[in-house]
Amino acid sequence: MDNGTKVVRPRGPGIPLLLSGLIFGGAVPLHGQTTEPPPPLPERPLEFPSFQESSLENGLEIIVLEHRNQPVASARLYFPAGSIRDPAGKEGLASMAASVLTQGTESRTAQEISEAIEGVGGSLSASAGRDFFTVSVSGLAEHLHLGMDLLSDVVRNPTFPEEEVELERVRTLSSLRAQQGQPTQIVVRHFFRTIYGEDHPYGPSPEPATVEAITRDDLADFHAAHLRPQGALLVVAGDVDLQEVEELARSHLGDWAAESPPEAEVPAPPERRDTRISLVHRPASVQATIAVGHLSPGPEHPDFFALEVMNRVLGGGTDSRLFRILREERGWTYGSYSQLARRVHDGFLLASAEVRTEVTDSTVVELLGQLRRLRDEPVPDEEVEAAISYLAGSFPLSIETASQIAGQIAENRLLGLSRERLLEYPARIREVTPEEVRRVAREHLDPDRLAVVVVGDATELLPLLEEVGPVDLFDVEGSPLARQDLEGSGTHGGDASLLAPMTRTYDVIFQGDDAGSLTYTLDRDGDVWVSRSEMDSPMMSQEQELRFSHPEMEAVSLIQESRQGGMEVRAELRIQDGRLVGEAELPPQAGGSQSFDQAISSEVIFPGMDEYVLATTELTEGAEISLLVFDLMSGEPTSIPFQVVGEETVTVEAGTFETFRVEGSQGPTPLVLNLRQEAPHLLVRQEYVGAPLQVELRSLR
Amino acid sequence: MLASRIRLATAAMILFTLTGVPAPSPAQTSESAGGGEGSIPFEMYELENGLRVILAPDPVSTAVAVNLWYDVGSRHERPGRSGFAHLFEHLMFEGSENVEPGEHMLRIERAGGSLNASITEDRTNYFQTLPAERVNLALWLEAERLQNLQVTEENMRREVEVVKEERRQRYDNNPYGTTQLQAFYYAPYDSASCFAYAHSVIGSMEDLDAAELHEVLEFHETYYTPGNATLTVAGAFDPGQVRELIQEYFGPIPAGEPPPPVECTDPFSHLPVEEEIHDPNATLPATMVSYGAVPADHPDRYALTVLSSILGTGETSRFHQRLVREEQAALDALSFTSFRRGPGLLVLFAVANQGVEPERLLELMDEEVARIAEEGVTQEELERARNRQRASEILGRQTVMGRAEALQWYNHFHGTPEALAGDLDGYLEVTEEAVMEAAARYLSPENRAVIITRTGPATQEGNDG
Repeated sequence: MDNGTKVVRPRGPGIPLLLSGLIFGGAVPLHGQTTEPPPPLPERPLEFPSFQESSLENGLEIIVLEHRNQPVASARLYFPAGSIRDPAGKEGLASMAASVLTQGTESRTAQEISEAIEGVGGSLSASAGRDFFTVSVSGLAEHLHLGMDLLSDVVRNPTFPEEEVELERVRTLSSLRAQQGQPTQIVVRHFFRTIYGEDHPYGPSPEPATVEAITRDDLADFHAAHLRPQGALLVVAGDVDLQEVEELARSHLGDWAAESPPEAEVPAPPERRDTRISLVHRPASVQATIAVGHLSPGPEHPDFFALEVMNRVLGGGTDSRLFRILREERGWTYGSYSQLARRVHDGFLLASAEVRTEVTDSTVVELLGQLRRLRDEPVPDEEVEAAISYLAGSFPLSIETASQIAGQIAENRLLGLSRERLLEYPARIREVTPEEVRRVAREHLDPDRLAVVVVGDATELLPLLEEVGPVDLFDVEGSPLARQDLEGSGTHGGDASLLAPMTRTYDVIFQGDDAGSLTYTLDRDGDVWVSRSEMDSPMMSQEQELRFSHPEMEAVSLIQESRQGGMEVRAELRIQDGRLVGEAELPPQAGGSQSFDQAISSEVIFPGMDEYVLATTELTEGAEISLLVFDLMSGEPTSIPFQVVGEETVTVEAGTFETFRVEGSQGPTPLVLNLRQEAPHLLVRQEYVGAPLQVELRSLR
Repeated sequence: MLASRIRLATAAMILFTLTGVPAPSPAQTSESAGGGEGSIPFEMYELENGLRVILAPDPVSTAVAVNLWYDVGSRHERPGRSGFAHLFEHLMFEGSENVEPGEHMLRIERAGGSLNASITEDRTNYFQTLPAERVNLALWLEAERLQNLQVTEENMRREVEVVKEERRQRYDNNPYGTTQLQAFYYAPYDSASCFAYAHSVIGSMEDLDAAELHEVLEFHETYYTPGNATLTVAGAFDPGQVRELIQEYFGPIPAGEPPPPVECTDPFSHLPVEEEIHDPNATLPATMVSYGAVPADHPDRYALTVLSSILGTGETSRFHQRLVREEQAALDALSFTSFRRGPGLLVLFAVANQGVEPERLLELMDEEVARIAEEGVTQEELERARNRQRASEILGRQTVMGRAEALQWYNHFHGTPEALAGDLDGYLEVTEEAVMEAAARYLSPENRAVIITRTGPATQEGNDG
């Protein structure tokens, strides 16, 4: 495939021929596939489904959507109270209130509530977003009355039992911990912290300490203050009718005392002065997760429709620039998208990608470049047309199910937009022109004030990203991280100044019998150490020459030839300007002939070097050491863990040694090593757990 | 999966499509008005070249689904080529004689449609939902890539990189990714007697790199034939018109030969297995247990599904009540079935709360399983499990794509879409004794693979080769 920007090749005539076959049907053409896809069939006019609005005396607003495609129904009750109401230091309050809301009322225990709703195959849940608190129930239409009964009970009479609060706290703390393992969660949390700052209600996320600080009374107070009928919206959709819903709402929620919740105050977010990269260190990541963006105008802004089209051109779908360039042309990522979020007070534009570590800098540059290109270059008519064609054309797909339609109606209302905005959306999108797209890109995109957040292994990413722009380092919890903390963790602990030239010979013992020998010779050649080894055994023969630097013990080169059974492996690898280059002949099932040319971290060592690194690392009982060893078969570094589990006295042909017992693994096979306590910690004995194979030191010179 | 917008699996959600069963008997034209709750009216017929067609028109729909299932999945791969069927699914978007690479996707999206493709052990599907007036576009594009696929060395190499990136994103960089691969494939299935299921859909990095262009073309020739595919159209369309379009676009495609059969005999004889892995991405330990179960069309599937539901679905489940609430040992504890065309699995999965050992989770899950095997279940539990099944099937059929997929599923795994109409009854007939027997028979310690996941630096995972 060519790498240009060509998207669709020019089409010749041919349409009329096809039309006759299509519309009048009947005749089957003599030849097979035509070379052109057919033009659209006659359009079926569709309008946004009609819905009805009503309200109760206490201020609760009601929207009913009658949609009888399947015998299902849902009811959702929205309150203007999300995490924006969390007091500083108690982030996570709204979310915790939502979780415990369904865990007990004045007349039902948590168990009774879940038995009632799950007994009919339905679901009841509450959640808190940024601006809204939502309680929803859904299931088969025949159970709507039960659903409304449960929904109104948890909304009006929750008891927040102490033991349920404590249980939820344990779960919340565990899930916060689980989120720290998920790069997409980390990147989003950090992105909001970056664009809003610590002091804004939209900035901070829940932390273990803020969750610990929340009390049962906080939950009850939150409920009393914010879950009120005034300003609340009930949306019921599905196989229902207005009269039925009004009666249900009146009987369950009609006598709920009117009371207004307090207004939320939202300060202006801080101004950004420049584009900076926040690098969040997640050790051992094999990918980098990237988010780039800034705040954008809210949904009520007149430019909103043109911004939607702009976002579609940039990264709204698989025909957008980001996906086509980063995935289809470069093959850097499984997917790259941008989104334009609509929120109550504002919105944001966010472009994202998950890529392999070595192309992270290129991807950040490309993302920034694509934002600039939108501002600086006119968008071709064809791309604008394609974006409009999707946004307006996908309308029939957006009104397929009752819950899809109800969701759109509710969102429109909660954002404070008019009914017309919803009904006119496809028409307004069709009116957007290429000039408008360029104008809004110039007015609302600011490539010089972007937040760039990258989550990944900073030991590898920091040098790459510092070439791109100023970098601030953080840990996964969001605390600033010093560069020296990083360096400490990023290199193995080996130190070649502890080594001296030597020759070692080992006995290979298989099922208790002599099965050959293995000899290592270590010499110094200027700033480079050279280790040559030869294994001579009926089971396996191997010759290896390994070079590594003095004293940091960074890999320099590897030449290896081995034969085991019918399998042969030959490899010649070297490190050159931070890249691993070379050739290997592997068994056919591992890919046959391979050539390597890839960026590689200085921490990665070659197979065979692990011994020397362990020999010169400080070992103490309980220590855990993880080495990144390049794996020929997979063509990637693999982390191999070792743990010092105790001390042992070991007698072998070469003598009796005080050793550390070290456990590790080679592939799926566990290993036990005995390393001399005296430095360098030479290998005295090695055993494969579960396999009758041992290696023991015979002589040392 | 090319499911680009489907995001990462979380601890509580396993992103495997759960499928499972028997060779579809060659269907001749049949019509079904459908009967019983949740049924979907359809008609079915076969083209001369063997392509089976299911039409499910519904005038109330706002959109139309065009959905093509091929009888090929990772089970058809051979050792050393794991991940090949999935790589091929990606390559189906890389152009054909009359369509440029990526153009299929582009044209569907520009028509306002959405599309995707996915693959499991047992089948590959390609599907698009469109505004009614563009049904012809999707049919034309599907016929085009079935008969005229063109893949170049360069496209293939680039797509190999995309798939490797997908593997990193889905498994290697994700908590419990390695756990899932072990628990779904390498540990429970014996590679010697059932390589078909003993390797992962995503494949290994080495095997992906080893893919060669001529193999791609052979794969297409073997499995991408009209006789090995079923086309379903559901939603807003005129059946007479669509029949003619299908004949016009698909009719002239040559029939092709039936593909070779797949062997999977006695896959669980090596059990029990117990493995421990270290997952650097995981922040909490976890326990996953896979029990050898039955194919998707086996009569015991009903009892196993009800058992799984009672054990680990929802807040009323035994696991939630015991592990999450009473003992506060687990952040989440689930049970689900993964039925396949050959023998499938019943899988338990629990993530430990901070400070809880994964062995403790295993102990607690074992106690709950034993309690059902020995003491039975309540009528309320049975009722709940059945109602849940009923509601979830009805809820799943709200979209045209949901309806097309349901018809395809029954056609592929039960031999005919008509099996859909009576299937719910099977769940209603499950008795307490049947659940106890299923627990005793299938959920025994001798019939399982236990995967203990600890946090910390990685150990290497199992192998696809």
